[in-house]
Amino acid sequence: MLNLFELGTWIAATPLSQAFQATSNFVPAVQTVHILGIAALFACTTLVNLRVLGIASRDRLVTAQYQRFAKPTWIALAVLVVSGLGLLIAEPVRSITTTPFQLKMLLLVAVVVLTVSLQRYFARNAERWDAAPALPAAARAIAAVSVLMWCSIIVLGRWIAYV
Amino acid sequence: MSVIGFCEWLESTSIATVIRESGSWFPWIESIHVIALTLVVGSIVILDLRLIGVTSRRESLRRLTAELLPLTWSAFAVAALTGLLLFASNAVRYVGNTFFLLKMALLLLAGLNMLLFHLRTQRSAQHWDSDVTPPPAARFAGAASITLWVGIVAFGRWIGFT
Repeated sequence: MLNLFELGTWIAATPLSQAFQATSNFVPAVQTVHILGIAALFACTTLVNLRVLGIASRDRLVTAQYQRFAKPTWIALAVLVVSGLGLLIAEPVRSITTTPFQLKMLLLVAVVVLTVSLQRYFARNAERWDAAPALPAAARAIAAVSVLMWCSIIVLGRWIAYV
Repeated sequence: MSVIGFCEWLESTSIATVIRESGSWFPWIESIHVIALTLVVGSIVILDLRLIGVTSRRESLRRLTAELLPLTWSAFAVAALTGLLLFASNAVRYVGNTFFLLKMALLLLAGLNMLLFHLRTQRSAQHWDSDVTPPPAARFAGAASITLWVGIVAFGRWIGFT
């Protein structure tokens, strides 16, 4: 069984981690980038999900709304992964050994899988959905779950600092 | 009443005391603050990028505004309320914190920038509503807004490290 504390201690001893730790204001600066990444990603996915739910952007086609925000969402996710890795390397033990961090990573994998399946679902049903006044309950349920999962990821991220 | 006197009173209210003394209220309220502020910043930046002429270039500005602003304002209301609660919990300390004061100053500037855009530049918007590249005043307002909001997020984060 992998010992996360030992892994964290090992990462903390690497030259890269030492360099990050020695850089003043590294953590708040990278956290700022991380929050801006969340802002981009969460706003984009929420606008798609609100359209699927029928709450906002009702004058837009579902597939058009999805295509509009797909690219910025993935770019923002890349920024989040890179800045998140930077934070992890700078404070490895505090990150990986805490329950909020571990739950956050599990939820992150789950929401990415969910988003990709929704993307395929969109692609298969594009024409039918664009013509329909309301989306099937399954699609709306996925959208609602997705919003809740992103909210939970943000909450868990903030709680890493408090355990 | 002096500013410090007001902050002392705010800190002594029962809600501020609960937030300060319980271990979990502050991080919960802060979490909701982050959820709300990311929606505020994200939706504003989508509009700003359209104003600059970088993205959503084929979108009518009016349509984009009508789509985004309800989300921006409802999220802003939540961010302001949760922000006030966080501030109240340690008002005296925050009011003397340079990063907090800078954040509030930038928020004020972002509000003024928006007001100025709304009252002056947007008046002529029917002439350039669907232009790929809006006039210089609109592009300036968009660029200023992005800069200010990046600063607001950064100073907000720095408050936690001082």
